[in-house]
Amino acid sequence: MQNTPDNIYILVLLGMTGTFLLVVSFIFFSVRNQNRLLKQRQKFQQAQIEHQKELLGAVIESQEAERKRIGQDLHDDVGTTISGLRLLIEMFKPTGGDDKNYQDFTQSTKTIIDKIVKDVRNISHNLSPTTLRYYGLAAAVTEHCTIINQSGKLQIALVNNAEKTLEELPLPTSTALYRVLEELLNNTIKHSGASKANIDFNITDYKLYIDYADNGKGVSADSASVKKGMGMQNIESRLLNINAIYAISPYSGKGFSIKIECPLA
Amino acid sequence: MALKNYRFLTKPLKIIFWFLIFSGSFNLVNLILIAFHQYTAHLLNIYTVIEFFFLSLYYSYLNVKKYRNLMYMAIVIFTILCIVNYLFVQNKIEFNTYTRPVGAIVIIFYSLMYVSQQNNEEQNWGDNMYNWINTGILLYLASSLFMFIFINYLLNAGQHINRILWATHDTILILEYLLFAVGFYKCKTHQTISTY
Repeated sequence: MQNTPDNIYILVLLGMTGTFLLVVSFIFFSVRNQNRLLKQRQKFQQAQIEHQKELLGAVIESQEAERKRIGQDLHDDVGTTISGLRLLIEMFKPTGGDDKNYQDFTQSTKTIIDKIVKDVRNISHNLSPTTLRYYGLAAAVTEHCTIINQSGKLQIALVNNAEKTLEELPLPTSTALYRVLEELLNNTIKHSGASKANIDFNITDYKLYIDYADNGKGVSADSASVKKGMGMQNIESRLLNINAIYAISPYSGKGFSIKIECPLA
Repeated sequence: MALKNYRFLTKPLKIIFWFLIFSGSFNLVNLILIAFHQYTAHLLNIYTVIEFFFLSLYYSYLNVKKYRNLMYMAIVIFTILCIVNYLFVQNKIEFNTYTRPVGAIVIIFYSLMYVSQQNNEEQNWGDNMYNWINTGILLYLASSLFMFIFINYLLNAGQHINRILWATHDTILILEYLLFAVGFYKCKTHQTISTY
C-alpha cells in the first residue's frame, strides 16, 4: 500500500466527503419519502372524511324529506279527514236530538277530535316546520320557544343579534341549526331540571355564533352519557354536515352551556 | 438545551445526555493529559467501549424489542473484543483501528434499522426528536469511518494534513451536536403537544 503513488490522506478526505454526501442524500430522500407518504395518507384520510360527510349529508337530506312527506300527509290527509269527521258529527241530528245524553256525547267527541286535530298539527309542524321554510331560522326558533314558554315547562330568553344573516341562511344550514337547538331544548326539558334557558345569536367575521345555556344541573362534556347519547350524536352529525364546530363548557356543577360556531361562506 | 429540558427528556434521550456528559469529561481528561505530554491513544480503547455501550443502549430502546437482547449481547462481545485487541493486538502506542470501525459499523447498522422502521411512521419527520439524534449519529459515524480506519497512517502525516483532517472531523462533530440540540429542543415541544 505504501508503494502506490496515491496520497493516503487525500484518499481519506475524499472517502469522508463521499460518505458524508451519501449519508446526507440518504437522509434527505428518506425525509422526503416519509413526508410524502404522510401527505398522501392525510389526503386519503381527508377524502374518506369527505366521503363520510357526503353520506351523512345524504342520510340527513333523505331523513328531512321523509319527515316533510309524513308531516304533509298527516296535515293534509289525517287532518282533513278528522275535520270532516267533526263536521259530520255536528251535522248529524237523530230523532230525539235534544236528548241530554246525546248532547254530552257530541260535546265530548268534538273535544277529543279538537285535541286530535291540535296534536296532528303539532306533530306535522315538528316533523316539518313550515315556518323554517318560509320565514327562516329566527322565526322558527321563536315560534318553538313561544310554544315551550307557553307550556310553562321552561322560560327561554332569545337574543338575536344576527337577524339579517339568519334570514339569508341556506335551508340545509338553517334546518340543521334548528334541529340542533330543538335537541338542546329537548335535553334541557327532559334531563336538566332547568327553569331558564338562553339562546344568543351573534355574528363575527363571517361566522355565526350560537350560545346556548341553561340553569339546570349540567353535565360533564366528556362523560359517557354525553358522548354515547343519541341526542348529542345527532347534534354532532348535524353540525359536522354543515362544517360547524361546537364546544361544551367545562362541567362546573351548575348549568349546561354550549357554543356553536358555524361558517357562513 | 438538554439540561434546560431535562425533566422532559425521555429515557433514550437521557442516555444520549449522559453520553454527551461522559464524552465531554473524557475529552477534558484527554486535553489535560496532552498538556502534561502524556500519550492518550490507549485511552481511546475505553472511550470506544463506553461510546458503543451508550449508543447501543440508546438504539435498544428505539429499535424493535425482540432485538434488544441481541444488542445487549453485542455490547458484551464488543467489550471483550476491545479488551483482547488492546492486550494482544494493538497494544503499542497506536489507535484501535480494528475495534473502533467495527463499533461504528454496528452502530451505523442500528441507525439504518431505525431509519427503515421510521419509514412507516405517520408523523412529520422533523417533529420526531429521535430522527434528529439518529441523523447526527449516522452522519458522524459514517463520515468519520474512513478516518477511524486510517487514523494510524495519519499519525505519520504532516501537521498541515492533520489539521485539515481534524478540522473536517470537528466540523462533522459540531454538526452532530447541533442535530442533537435540535432533538433535545423538539423533545420539549413534543411533550407540550402531548399534554393537551
